[in-house]
Amino acid sequence: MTKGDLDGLRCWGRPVKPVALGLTVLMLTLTVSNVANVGVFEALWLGDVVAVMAGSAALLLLGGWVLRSQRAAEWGLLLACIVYIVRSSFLFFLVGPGEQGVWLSLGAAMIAGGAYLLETTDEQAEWRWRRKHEAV
Amino acid sequence: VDPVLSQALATLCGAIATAILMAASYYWGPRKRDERATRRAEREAEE
Repeated sequence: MTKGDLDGLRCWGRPVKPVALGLTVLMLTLTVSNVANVGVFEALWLGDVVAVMAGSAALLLLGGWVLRSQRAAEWGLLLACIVYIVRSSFLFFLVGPGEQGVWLSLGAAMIAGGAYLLETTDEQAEWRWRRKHEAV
Repeated sequence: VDPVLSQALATLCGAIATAILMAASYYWGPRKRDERATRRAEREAEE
């Protein structure tokens, strides 16, 4: 169990990470909207980059849960944070600080980044790392 | 700001944020903690 898991709750033998679950839904939404060119990026090239990154994040989060891979979940959370930072700063530079999306995306990026730090600095991760290096 | 310039600046911000997050996860992460614990044990052994 890591700091991002719900204590004692298991779903099909797998831990449940509520923040990662919510971010998966958000990443799928951003992927679809950027592929369909309906998001803030419209038909800009950054929109395609963000679509690929958001799709990869959703895949890593879902795949990490199915395959019980903590590492994949951590990378998924990091990618989700990057996607939101890029979205937030793009809106900031294009429209300005008066745009609500800037601050909504910044908050979402903080949630994703915080979840990433909680997962990567967890003692469970320490145990995993020690086991890997002591086995060599 | 021009959309193309905004894209470039947003990409830069994304890269900076990634670097900060990865550095923070390394600094407070298990690897660094392990190194610190080893150094402390060595120092105590010397004393």
